[in-house]
Amino acid sequence: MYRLLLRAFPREFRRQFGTDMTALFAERRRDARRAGAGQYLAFWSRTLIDITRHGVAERRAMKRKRGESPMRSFFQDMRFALRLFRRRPGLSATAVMTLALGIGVNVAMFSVINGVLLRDLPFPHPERLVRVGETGTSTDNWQPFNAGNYVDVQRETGDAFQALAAYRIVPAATLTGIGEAVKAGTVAVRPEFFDVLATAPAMGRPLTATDLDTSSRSVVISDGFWRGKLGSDPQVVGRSVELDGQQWTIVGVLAPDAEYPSGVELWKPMVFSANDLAQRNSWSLNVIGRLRPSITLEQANASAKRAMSLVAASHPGPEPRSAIVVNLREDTVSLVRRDLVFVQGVTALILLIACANLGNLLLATATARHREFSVRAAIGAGRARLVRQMLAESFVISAIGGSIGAALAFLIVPALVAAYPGSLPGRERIGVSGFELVVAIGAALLTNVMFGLAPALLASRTKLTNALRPSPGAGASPIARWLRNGLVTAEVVMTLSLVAGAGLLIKSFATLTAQPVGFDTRNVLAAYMQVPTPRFPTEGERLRVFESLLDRLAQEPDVESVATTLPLPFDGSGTGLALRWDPALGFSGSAAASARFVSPRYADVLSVPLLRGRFIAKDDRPEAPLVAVVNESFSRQYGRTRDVIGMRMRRTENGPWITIVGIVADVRANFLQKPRPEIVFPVAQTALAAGNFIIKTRSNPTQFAHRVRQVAHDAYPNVPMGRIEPMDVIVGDSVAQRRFNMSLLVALALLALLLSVIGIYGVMAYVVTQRRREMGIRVALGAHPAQVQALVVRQGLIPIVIGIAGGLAGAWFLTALLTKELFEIKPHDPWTLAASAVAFLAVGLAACWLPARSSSRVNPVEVLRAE
Amino acid sequence: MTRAKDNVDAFLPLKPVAFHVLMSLADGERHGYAITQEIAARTSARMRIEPGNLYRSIKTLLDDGLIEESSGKAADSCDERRRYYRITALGRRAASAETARLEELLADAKGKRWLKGRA
Repeated sequence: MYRLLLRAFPREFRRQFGTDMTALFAERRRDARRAGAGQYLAFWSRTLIDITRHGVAERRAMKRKRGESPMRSFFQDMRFALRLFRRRPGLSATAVMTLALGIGVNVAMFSVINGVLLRDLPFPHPERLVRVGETGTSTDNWQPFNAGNYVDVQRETGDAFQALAAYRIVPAATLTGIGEAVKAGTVAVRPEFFDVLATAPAMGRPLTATDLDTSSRSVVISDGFWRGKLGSDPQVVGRSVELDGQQWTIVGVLAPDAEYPSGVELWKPMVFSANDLAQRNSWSLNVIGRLRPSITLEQANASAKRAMSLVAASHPGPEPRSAIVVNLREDTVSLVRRDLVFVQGVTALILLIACANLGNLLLATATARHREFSVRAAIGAGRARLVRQMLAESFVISAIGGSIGAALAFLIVPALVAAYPGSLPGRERIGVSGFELVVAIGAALLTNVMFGLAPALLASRTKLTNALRPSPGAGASPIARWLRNGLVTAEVVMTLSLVAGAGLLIKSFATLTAQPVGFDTRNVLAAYMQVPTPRFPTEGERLRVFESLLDRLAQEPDVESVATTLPLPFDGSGTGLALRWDPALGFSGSAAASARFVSPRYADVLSVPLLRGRFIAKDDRPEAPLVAVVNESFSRQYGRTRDVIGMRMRRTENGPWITIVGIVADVRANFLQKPRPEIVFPVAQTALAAGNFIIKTRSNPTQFAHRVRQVAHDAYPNVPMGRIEPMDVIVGDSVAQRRFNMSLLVALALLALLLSVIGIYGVMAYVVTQRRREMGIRVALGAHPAQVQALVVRQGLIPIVIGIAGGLAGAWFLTALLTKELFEIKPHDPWTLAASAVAFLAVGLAACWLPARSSSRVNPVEVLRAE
Repeated sequence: MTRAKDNVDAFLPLKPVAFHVLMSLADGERHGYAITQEIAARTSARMRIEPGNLYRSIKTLLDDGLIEESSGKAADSCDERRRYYRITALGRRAASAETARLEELLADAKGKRWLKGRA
């Protein structure tokens, strides 16, 4: 072992003192071992330091004595490498860009992963932050909290939680009055929210219980909002801004990077009305909490479950309810973790492909310089020296490629984060900073070794006689040929896997979005409006606002029909209800369904067919008997033994009966879930404060948006209109995540394909050039050029075909990982795999044939003469 | 012919390790392990010389002619394969010159006020 370490010293020194040093070492080690484990460890560290220090020092001293500067050979190598680099600009540029792309995408992905998955949430003791949810009988799918339950649980769990806070993301507020109107991500929070985060605002104060007074309109803003939209106004605390048409007072500005949830800019107080607290059968609140210092997750879970069972006892509902507590960070990132790691894996594959390319490149050029190396060896360069020289050449490529790659990452990361639909959790913490650059440098050095070492070792195995013989032909040694073919095969395997995976995602996305949605989105505009309850305290007044606007909009020449609905299909929101059946019907239990509240022309606007009975009508007023319409899925589930039309149900124990009067076709809530049972209520018979106007226009809906806002403003200047977008966009946004994943993977697969094609083409071109002499001879001996080409192409295709076989196997494995992403497509979809294989075969064929063709138009006389 | 004194001045100041090795060999021939042991004993284990350090020093001393390899065996004859070293006349002169230099230096240092209480 020591003998190996002694190689740090120059050879002559070793020869002179090696034995003695080893003997001395052995005796020292014996003494150290006897002295105990600690001493032994200290001994080894002393030994290593000694070897390193003195080995290097002795070498330098020797060099100095010989008159060489110790660093000289290194600089010589570098100068030579740079000269070589400049002399082959095309080759060098290709090599550098290949590596730059490989390293660039990797560093970019790693930066994202670092920011999202690895860095902690920027709050004190982030490990104590948790999310709490309600569950039914099985804890597998847990859901948001009910307001009343939240208040009770908060009261009962003071032992485990230092603070517990509910929040709900609300539609983005529109800031007006300062330049152009802009939207800002908004969340409504309970005052305990800032206690949970344990972060004090940089300016002003957080929201407190006093802000729950419905007349106060206090808001806390983010640092980004302050700088970007308010111009870093130093007098911001106490300043008033117009949000959604109302005046709000800014009471605090958070510190930079201290936002939760990600991407939010405004924090408003969440006020519970008496109705909110009394109603125990709607669930829409997110709850986060901070555990007390010595409380574990299990204890918190026990406490929460205990509290929920108390709630269930005093408010029995149709289902037993419980609670679950999970670590907040885990919960937030677990959704994206899988995706991010998967993409990082893909970029790592791309880097490997780039390295394979470069390896082949260096191998090819090295075997071409066979003669040069042999001559060098003859005049005294040791093998180590030659290897060092070649490593210097690959080092130049790595250094330049790595730098460009890091610069690329710098550009890619912001673009990636911006393109991501919604907001990546922790995206404020993503950036290409020092740590990521160190990773980039490490990657560059590692790849340098990976693609530079093998060719260097191979090329330096020179025998003088070999070199002085006439040109040996392509891939002088069988090992070089094996290595070359092996690299090609490896590239094909990796690329084909990626291409097949991308193909599957494309097919899956197409299948997903091809599903019929159940309504017509053409020319439909959706506008969200929230009626402020302080100014319109009664249901009647609020209803009048909606109906008045419906009338005004209906009179616009551009409008075919208009209605209101809550929720809007495909906007990601929804409420669940459980209603009790009329006991006279004979079945127990409740009807569980999603709820929708609409105005009479809803079915017209969205072209939803009525199947039986009647739809909501103008006469269904608050004074009239309560009615509802159900969808086909509901009818199928509950109308098996008798027609649902005419059945009665009610929302509370002794409430008014609601009669089902009609059945409509199913309308999807999103692409992913099959339509579920739904009950449609007249908005006139419900106490709502918000709704979406859906407007069917005769022409382009986007241009009408302006007019809608104007009409609303003219009628009710104090009632803000929120988001206005065409239905097409809203439907498209619902699959934005999947579209993004697919696009990203397709882009990466194309990059891999590009690199592979360049690599394989380059290798084939080189090999064919080396075989010119052989081809010339064959043609001179009477072979038809086409036959010669065919021979070369056939031999070149072999590693590619093997690669395709391996690639299909790789695709099998890779696509199994994608199963969760795929919608109704089996991961081993034969068509996609076959298509990928065929495509690759065509590509490989072209990459082999083109160089063969151009090279075989060779004049045999010329080639032979050159020898 | 340069005077002997000028000869040895070229070697001063001696590196500490080199000086210790010379001191060690002043009493007789030794091999590497014995040199390190003697130094450790003499300095009460304050100086611990690792093999790399030691043999570099020995190499330099050999090259400069201050020590030489010894053909004969010395007191502890337990290992014949080891190389034994002994100090040369030049080495003795160099060591004594270094001692003189250090004495002068020490005398100067003691004259300074910082060594209060140590006459």
